[in-house]
Amino acid sequence: MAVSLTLFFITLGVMLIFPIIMRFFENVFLKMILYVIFSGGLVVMLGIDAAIIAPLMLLTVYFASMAVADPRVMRAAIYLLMAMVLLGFIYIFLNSEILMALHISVYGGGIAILILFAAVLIEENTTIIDEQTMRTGYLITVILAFTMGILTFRGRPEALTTTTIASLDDGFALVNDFSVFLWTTYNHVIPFLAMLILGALIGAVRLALTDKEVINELGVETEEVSS
Amino acid sequence: MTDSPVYEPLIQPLLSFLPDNMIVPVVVSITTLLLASWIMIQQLFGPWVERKIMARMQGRRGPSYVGWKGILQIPADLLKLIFKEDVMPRRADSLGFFVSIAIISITSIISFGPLPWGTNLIGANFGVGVLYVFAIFSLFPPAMFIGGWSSNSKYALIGGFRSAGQLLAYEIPMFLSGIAIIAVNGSFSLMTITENQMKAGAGWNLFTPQLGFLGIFTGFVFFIAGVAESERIPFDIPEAEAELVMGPRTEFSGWRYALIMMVEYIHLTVNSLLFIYLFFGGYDAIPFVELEFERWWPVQFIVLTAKLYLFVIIAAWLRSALPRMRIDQLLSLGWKQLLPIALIAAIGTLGFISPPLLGLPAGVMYQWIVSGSTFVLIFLFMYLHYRSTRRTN
Amino acid sequence: MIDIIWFLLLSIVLFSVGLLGVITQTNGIRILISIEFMLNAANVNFIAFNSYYGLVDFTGWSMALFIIAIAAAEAAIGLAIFISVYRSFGDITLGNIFSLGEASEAE
Repeated sequence: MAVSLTLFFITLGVMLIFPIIMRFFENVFLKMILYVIFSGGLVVMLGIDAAIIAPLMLLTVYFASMAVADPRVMRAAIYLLMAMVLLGFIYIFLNSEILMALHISVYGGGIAILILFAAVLIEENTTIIDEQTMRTGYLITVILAFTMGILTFRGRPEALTTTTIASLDDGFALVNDFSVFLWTTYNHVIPFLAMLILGALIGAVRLALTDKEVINELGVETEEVSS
Repeated sequence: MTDSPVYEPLIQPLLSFLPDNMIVPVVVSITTLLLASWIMIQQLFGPWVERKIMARMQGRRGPSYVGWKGILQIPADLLKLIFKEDVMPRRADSLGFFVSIAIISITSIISFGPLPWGTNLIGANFGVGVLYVFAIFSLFPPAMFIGGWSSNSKYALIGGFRSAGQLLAYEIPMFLSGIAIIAVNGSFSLMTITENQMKAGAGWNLFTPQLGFLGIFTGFVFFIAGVAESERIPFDIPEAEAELVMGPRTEFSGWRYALIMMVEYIHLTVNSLLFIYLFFGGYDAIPFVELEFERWWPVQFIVLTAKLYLFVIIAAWLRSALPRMRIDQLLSLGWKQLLPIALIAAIGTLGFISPPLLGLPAGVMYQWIVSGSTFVLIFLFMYLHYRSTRRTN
Repeated sequence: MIDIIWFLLLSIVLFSVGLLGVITQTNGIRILISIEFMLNAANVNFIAFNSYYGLVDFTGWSMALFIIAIAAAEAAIGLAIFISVYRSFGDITLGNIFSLGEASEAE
């Protein structure tokens, strides 16, 4: 475990420093050769799985933090889309292609476009967040992340099986087993889930079709609040 | 993997110096790259075939200067577009302007992975197969919308809204009708679905009596939705020239425009390929019989390419023959007609699954009752819809 | 061969990013985006544990599937509520939306 952790942090460090190193080289061909050497070194050092997954994870984290930090809501939605797509591709490395397909079609095709539409339809006024809230937020987040990190490092049991993308051929059996499991052990949950989604759909359509007058009749006064 | 036709010449020499956990990724990449480049070559000559046929139908000559009868017109255009200046509108959103192009081009190319071109001649025969293609395709509407929004142009924005709405409206009937075939075959793999259609006595899903002729409806819905997904002429609302210049693509120029037009043809190609695999027999040459030469992979390769060009010709025919629909007609066709038809036909098709669902009795009689009632329901629905629209108009 | 700690670290970082967004942001859509990240952090953990500690039963994958479905429902209804709120208040900043009481002291 210690070796793998060291490798992990070395990878992170090298990948963060590498773009800075590349700035000192002007020649395009030299740059290309350096890129090839760098990626080849990663593959040799970590194995192909880790060499693919490390940039994917870094990009996912970068897009996720940009989705929270970017001042424009529309850009935040674009970053959300990209982070979700990359996260879906990370699931392949956990041998769950079926969840990758579901994740990409729901998050990339469904939720991202909903958020994009909402971000375009709503006129944005950026609010300045006061220092107090910012500091409290960072403090809580850092403490919680630290606690979670310690718990994760100390508390996890040794892995029973290992996954590689070399086990791509078992996909059909896994999907079959998963669906059989889903429809035997959890078959009483699926109808409720379907009812939930149908209810959300009908509710969303009903809310979107509600006129402004109806909202006013409910007791909300519009004009006075616009400050 | 060892059954693949490219195993002997290509993969065998690699095995000696590859480490164990790298064999599958490298082999998958090489095979996918080979098959994808074959599809990319089609992109250079498919549009030429289409333009020639459209020109004949409209009494023109079509491209005729570059190369033999203008066959090099598309590569020449491509070369010109790549060397043009890359213009970006002022105050356009640089991130969105780049991301939309990146997403639509990357997704359209990586969707070639699970498409087989012959028995075992496939990039990656992995667990989710066609579902992966559907998932990758569902990234297309947000990308078009982002492209339209980030161009900072009102035509592009309206075009982006329309494009996203249209793609969403036609994705769902397409998936539904595809899922009926997947459920009956019990596999996501396009290769298994094709092999099932190749068996002796098994016809192609579009008109086989083994599905009670219900493939006509699902195939019809899938084909219409596929044409609408690739935004071609009866459905090209997003780029209606008279209203919206080029829709969400208005502000893209140079290599970005070349990529976008290429992606449009790739979409047509992949949608046609999906239709061929799911309903039109895949690489099977002759339905209802199983002959020895059909098992030879060059024959399968040629048969699939010929079927692909057949669908390119049908698309050109539709494009030159039909007028454009209005946006409200288009959305009502998608949500109010194709979706219910796909739903009824998909539920009816589930009656042909084996073992039968819900402990219902199996047998020919029962299956014909299911098929007949589905036919009656669909025609009843279509009649009711026709009557209601005639009354309002 | 990847150690499971990579996926757990990814999950921790995603959850922290989402939490930071929920605490500090005031725009409704941003809070929804942050909640999506927190749900996905849980998803990564479920899938990683299920893949590493035995593929005989698929409880983790099933939970991930349910979370995806619930997230879709939540996003649909949440955005409908926000659009409805925006049409009646003309604002999406959660601190400015009230129909009872006085305006906040910050104004």
